[in-house]
Amino acid sequence: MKRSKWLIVLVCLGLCLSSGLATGPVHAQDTVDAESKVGTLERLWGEAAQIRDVKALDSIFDDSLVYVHIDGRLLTKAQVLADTKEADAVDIVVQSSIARAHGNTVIVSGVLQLKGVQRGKPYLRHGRFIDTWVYREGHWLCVASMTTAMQS
Amino acid sequence: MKLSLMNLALMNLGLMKTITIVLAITWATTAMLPGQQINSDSGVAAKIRDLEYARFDAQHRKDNLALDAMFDNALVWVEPNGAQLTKADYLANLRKTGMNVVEIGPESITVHAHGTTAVVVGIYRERGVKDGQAYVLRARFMDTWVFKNGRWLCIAAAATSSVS
Repeated sequence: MKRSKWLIVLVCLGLCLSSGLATGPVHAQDTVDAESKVGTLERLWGEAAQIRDVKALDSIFDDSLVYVHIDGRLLTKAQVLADTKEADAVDIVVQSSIARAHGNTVIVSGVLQLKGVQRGKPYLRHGRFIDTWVYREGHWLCVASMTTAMQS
Repeated sequence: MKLSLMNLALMNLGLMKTITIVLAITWATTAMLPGQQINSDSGVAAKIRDLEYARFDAQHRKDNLALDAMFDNALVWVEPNGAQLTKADYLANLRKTGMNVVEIGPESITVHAHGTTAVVVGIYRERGVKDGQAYVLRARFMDTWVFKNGRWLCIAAAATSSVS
């Protein structure tokens, strides 16, 4: 009887440890899947920004989003959405991007081109961006984004 | 026979108790594990803030060993001019002759904790001499840290000299 008790204790402790490891600092999904999903969301973001679909952007961004614009402004989610509504038309082309998963976090880095007209003057700018995505409650959400103007 | 049946029933009762207690411990331990590893958001913020100060200090001292330990091998680094560097590129650049950082440090730091991920935004000031020319820089920065293998590592860092 004593032996069987100890056996049960050991089995349960084993289960405890294995489940603890599985729920630790984990991978929400496998790396490739995470990178692919976030890559798709990045494309949706680009399309939504292009057509000023604020509702779509609202679902992509976390409420605590921190955003650094190519001009250096630090914006909240509400400010980014308002900016998108009010800004002049801009043509956004993502020239390159790469996603890298780190468990529940994905970093996307790349180069984008912005083409538009501001105060009657046409402009063309290139920026290097880094976006941070976090997997939370079954969704990937963008929690931070920064674009640095590339000096030629 | 009656006695042995009763004994068996009591033994089973004891077994059930043992199983219940062990399962309760199992549940409690597994429920606690993630919390124990990352602590509260305020704890994370304090830890990341310390790491940021240590990072600026290591940059100033050109302490590659300390920076190597803080940066993930897959680090993505973007300079204020938009140039992208790998971890190896960055560490090699830091040691380059002709570059002397006289002063570097944060003016402001804000940490946004998201469980095992933390995003830092702030402004830093840098003063130094590059190729014989004195320079002064004030830049906005954004760093991302993740809790990996029991420690916090910086996986992305970007800066821009446009601060508006």
